[in-house]
Amino acid sequence: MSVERAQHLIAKRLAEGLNELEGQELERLLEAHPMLEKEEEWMAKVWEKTDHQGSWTPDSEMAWTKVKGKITPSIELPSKKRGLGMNLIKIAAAAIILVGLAFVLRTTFQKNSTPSVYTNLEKAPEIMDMTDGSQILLSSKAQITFFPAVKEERKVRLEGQAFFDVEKNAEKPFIIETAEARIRVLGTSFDVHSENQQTVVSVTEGVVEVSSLDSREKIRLVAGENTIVGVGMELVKENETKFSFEEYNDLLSFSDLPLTEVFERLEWAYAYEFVWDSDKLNSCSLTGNFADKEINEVINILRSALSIESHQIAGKQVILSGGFCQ
Amino acid sequence: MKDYSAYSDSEIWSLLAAGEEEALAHIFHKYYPGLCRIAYRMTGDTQASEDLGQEVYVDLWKKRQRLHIQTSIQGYLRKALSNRTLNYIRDQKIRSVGDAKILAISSKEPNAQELMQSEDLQKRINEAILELPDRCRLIFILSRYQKMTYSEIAGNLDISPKTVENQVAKALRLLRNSLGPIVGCLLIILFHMIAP
Repeated sequence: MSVERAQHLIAKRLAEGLNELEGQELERLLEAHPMLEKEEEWMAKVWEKTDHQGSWTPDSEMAWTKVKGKITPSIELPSKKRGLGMNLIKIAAAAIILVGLAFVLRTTFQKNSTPSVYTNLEKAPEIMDMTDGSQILLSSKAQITFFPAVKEERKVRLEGQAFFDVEKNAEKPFIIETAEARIRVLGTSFDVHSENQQTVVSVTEGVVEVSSLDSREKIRLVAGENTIVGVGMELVKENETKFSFEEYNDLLSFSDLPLTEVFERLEWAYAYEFVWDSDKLNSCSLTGNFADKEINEVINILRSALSIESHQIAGKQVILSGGFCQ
Repeated sequence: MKDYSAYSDSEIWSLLAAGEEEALAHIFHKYYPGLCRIAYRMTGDTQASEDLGQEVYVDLWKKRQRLHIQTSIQGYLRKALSNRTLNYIRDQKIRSVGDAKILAISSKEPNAQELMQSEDLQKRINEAILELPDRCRLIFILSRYQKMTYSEIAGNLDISPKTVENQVAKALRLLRNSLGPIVGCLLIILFHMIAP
């Protein structure tokens, strides 16, 4: 017998209730030791006071938004984003490159969920890893929308520019739709370039099926072939690819690269078109690394390297005046 | 929008496993505030409590396809939350802060009768709950605030009902003792003097 035993029984009576034997034991203790009544009163008071839950209630709506933000990527979408500076080398066997100022892509990965939209607000391209193993290199300002699965397909819509590395999966084809074209990946590596209401698809590896949304015409492209899709245009195969896959491995780092190609890569990465008025620049080559640089830094480097007199940014154009190279 | 409240727990488990996000939303809104309150009682920190509550759901979603659960959803969530919270507390080592608080409280040595009437009592009890040993505190919280029975708590934490009973009683005794040290001591002395 002890105070502890009495406290134990009182606590149990408060929290859970006592069985008959325990009740009798407590009664005997209380009768035998009147001082315990004070203890009982204390315990009851404490018990009563602990009932106070406090007025705090979490904001479930806001919390749910946070949780939703965390779970959505892990199911269907990019699980992480990285800067371009890292390793494009990882971009493996199957790659699609989509380039354009205003074009639309669609792919389907999600089930039972509303479309989710991601916009690259950074000033440099971002790599997004997707759970199916595919990767998207999303250029600055580009927006990608992932749609709920309709069939067993992976499908996205994209506005702006992007580079896709598609993991081969025969059971779940990767579908890309632009405003002009629908592109079906059959396990491959290729570029899609869409701008000014045209989509250019250039295949560097494997097989790609391209259909025109306008004419419903369909064409198959293999490595080394490209085609242009647009309203009122016939689909024609051409033998030229704009970029090789290897060039994308090191997109913004180059050595003695003709300036026109440098501009092409910068346009791709920054979503700005470069325009210049000096013919002297046409024969120039550049060595440099623009990875992780913002557009203004890029312009400053170009200005000093090429002795450019002035520049102007007009909408999506960077206009360079003057300039030459030694 | 489906009426998820009409679904049984096992049906909701299946929907979750199938990737139905609305099912997660349903159990989130239903249980999240309660889970946060457990964590809050455990940590005394609203932000940490919300983080812990959210992590439970994110984690559940991540492994939804691997889960083969027989227990109720609420039971699973409470258990997940409890473990996560205990780990959090261990990691944060908030006990050291707690010990400092205990010292501060005891050094005041208030008159028990005054304290009993005092407006301060509520605050002191809330603080004293945070000073309980972690596992003891968790069991007390589940009993007191989640209104769980001893056997439910025992099932949830994989311990015996007897342990639950001991821990709840221990919690209440510690709370009571921390609030009335003078009377408590006096009582024990008197008790031993008069005890046969």
